[in-house]
Amino acid sequence: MTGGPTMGGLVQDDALARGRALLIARLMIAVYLVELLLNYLRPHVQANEPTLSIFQKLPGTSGSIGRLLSLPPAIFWTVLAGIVAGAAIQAFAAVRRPEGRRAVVLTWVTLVLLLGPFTLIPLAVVLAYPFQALVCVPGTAFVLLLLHGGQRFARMPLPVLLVAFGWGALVVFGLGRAYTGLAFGTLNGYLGKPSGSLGSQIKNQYHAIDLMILHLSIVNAFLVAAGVLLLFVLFRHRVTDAVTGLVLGAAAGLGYNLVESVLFIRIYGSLGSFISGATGGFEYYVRQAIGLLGGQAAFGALLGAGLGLAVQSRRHRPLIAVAAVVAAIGASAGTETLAGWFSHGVHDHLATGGAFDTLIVSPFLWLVPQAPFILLAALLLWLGRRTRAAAARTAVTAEASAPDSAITPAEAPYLTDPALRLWAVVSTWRSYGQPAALALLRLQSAQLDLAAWRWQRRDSADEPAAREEGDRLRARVLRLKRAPGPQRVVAP
Amino acid sequence: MIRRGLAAVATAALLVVLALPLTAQPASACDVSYGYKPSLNLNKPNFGRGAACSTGTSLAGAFFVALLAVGAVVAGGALAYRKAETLLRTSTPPPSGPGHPAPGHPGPAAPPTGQAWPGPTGPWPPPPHQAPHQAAPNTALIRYLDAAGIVPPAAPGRGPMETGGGHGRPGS
Repeated sequence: MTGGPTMGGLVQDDALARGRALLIARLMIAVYLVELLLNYLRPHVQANEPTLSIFQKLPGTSGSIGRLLSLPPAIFWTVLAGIVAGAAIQAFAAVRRPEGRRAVVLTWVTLVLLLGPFTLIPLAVVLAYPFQALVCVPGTAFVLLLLHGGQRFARMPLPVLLVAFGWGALVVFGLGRAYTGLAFGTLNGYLGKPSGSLGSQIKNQYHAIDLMILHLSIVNAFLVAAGVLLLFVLFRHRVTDAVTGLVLGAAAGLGYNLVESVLFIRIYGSLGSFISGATGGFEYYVRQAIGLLGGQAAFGALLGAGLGLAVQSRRHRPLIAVAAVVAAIGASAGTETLAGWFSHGVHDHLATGGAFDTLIVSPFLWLVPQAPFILLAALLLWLGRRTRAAAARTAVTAEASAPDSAITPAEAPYLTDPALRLWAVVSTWRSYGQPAALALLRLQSAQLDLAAWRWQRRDSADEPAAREEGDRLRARVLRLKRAPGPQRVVAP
Repeated sequence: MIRRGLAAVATAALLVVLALPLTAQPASACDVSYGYKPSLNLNKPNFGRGAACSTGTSLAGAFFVALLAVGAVVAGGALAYRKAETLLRTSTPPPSGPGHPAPGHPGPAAPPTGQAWPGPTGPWPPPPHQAPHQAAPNTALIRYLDAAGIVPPAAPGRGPMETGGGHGRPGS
C-alpha cells in the first residue's frame, strides 16, 4: 500500500517506510538472538554459573551498579515474549497477506512488540532515579532547541527531533545495554578463569572492560544509524542532507546521553569517591554541562551528517556511509580508552582533588580525545548551513517570482536573512505586541516550508504529487495571511 | 546595557580562570566513565588517592557554564538584531509626506486625536514613541508587515484600523 505524506504532511507512512522499519527491527532482533546464543554457549569459569550470565548476581552489585550492565529477569522474559509474539504476527501476515489499514496496524504492532520491551531498560533507570533524570532535562532541552534553530532553512519540525531523541534514549540505550550485558558475560567466559595473583585477575577484568567498550561503541553506532536512516525514509519528502542527518543524529545521541548520565550520576553518587575521585555532581558537570555538546551528541551528529551526505551522493554512497559509522565507533571507543589512559597517566604522578582539577583538568582529559570529532561535526554543520543559505536565497526568489506566489518580493529579503527575520519578529513584538509577533512567526515558518518544498522538488515540481504538496503549502500561507487576529478592529 | 552585562560576565570568567591555578592544588583526573580503571598505589599514603572532585564545586561550575551558554545565545541574538537594524537604517529611504518629519528633525510625540498617522503605503500607525533615528527601520517594518498581511493592533486613542477582509488595509 502506497500513499503520500500523512499526519498533516509530516510523515511519509507508506509501504516502503514500513518495510524498512520491519527490516531494521528484524536485524536488531537477529543480533540479539546471536548474542543470546553466544552467551549460552560460553565456557563457564565458575561453579554453578547460571545458563545466561545476565542472571548472575554478583555480590555488591545491586542497585545502580547492577543496573549498569545487567538485565532484570522480568525484562528479559518480557523481551522474549515480545520476540515470540512479533514473530507470530509476522507469520500470520505472511500467510494471510492483509492489505490496507490492517497491514499498517499489524506492522506497527509488530514493531512495538519486537522493540518495545527493550525500552523498559532505560525507563526503569529513569523511573528509579527521577530526581537525577529531572536535573538533566533543562540542559538537554536547551541543546535540543539549539539543534532545531541551527538548521537555518528547511528545518525538520521539533516533534521529529523529539522522536530521534526518544529513539536514542529508549531504543539505542535499551538495545545497547541488552547486547552488551550479554557480550560482557560471554567475554568473561572466553577470557577464561584467571589464575595466579590478584594483579592478573584485575588485568583480565580490565581486558574484558576494554572489549566491552569496543562492543558498546559498535552497537551504539549501528543503532543510531538505524534510527537516522529510518527517519530519513519516513521524512524523505522533506530535505534530507548533511544538516538533517546531523541534527537527527545529535538528537539521538542526546537521548542516549540523558539516560546514561542518570545512571552515572547515581553510580558515582553512591559508590563513594575514594576509588574514582568522582562524585554524582562531577558526573553531572561533565556529562550535562561542559560536555553536553560532546560525547554521544557529537558522535551522533558526525554519524548522522555522514549518512546525510551518503544519501545525497550516488557514486560514493556506501563508502561515505561506512566512513561515518567507523568514525562514530572510533570516536566513542577512542574517547573512553584514551581519556582513561590519560587519567591513569596523571594519577601515577599526581594526587586528586581541587577546584582547578574538578573544573578544568578532569573535564579537559575527557574532552581532548573528542575534540577532533566535535570540530569535524561543527565544520560539517557550518558547511551545510552555508549550502542551505544559498539554497534559501534561490528557492525564495524563485517562489516570489512564480505566478500566484504566496511570497511577495518585499518579503523575500526577510525570509533569506535570519538576522532580518529575527529583527522583524522582535520589532513587531516590541511595537505591536505578542499576538502580531506570533502571527508573523507562523507566517514566516509556513513561507519557509513552501520555499523548502521548491528546493526539494526543483527537479520534479511538475509531478502531480509534488504539485499537490506545493498547492497545499501555498494555501496554508495564504490562510495565515488572511487569518483574523484578536486585535483586528472592524469599523461600524 | 547588554554590552556592559557581557563585559561583566567576560571579566568574571577571566578572573575565575586566572584565580583557579593560584590555589596551588595538584592536577588530577577524576574518573568519568567505563574506561577509567581505578589505580591504587600501595606504596603511597592513602594509596595515592586524594580529595574528590566535589559535588559543590562541580555544581558551581555547571551553573557558570549554563550562564555562559545562555549569555552566548542572548548576545548572538542581540548582535544579529543590531546588524539587521543597521542594515535597514542604511538601505531604507525615510518616509516623506504630511505627518512625517524629515530625518533629523524631531516629530510630534502622538498623533492628533481621532486621526491615524499616514504611513508610507497607507494610513498605518507607526510604532509609538518613534524617535528620529528609528524612522528607517520602523518604515521598513511597516512596509514588511503590509506586504505580509500582518495587521498590527490599533494604538490607544486612535481610530479603527480597518474594515476587515483581505489583508485588512485601513480604509480599504
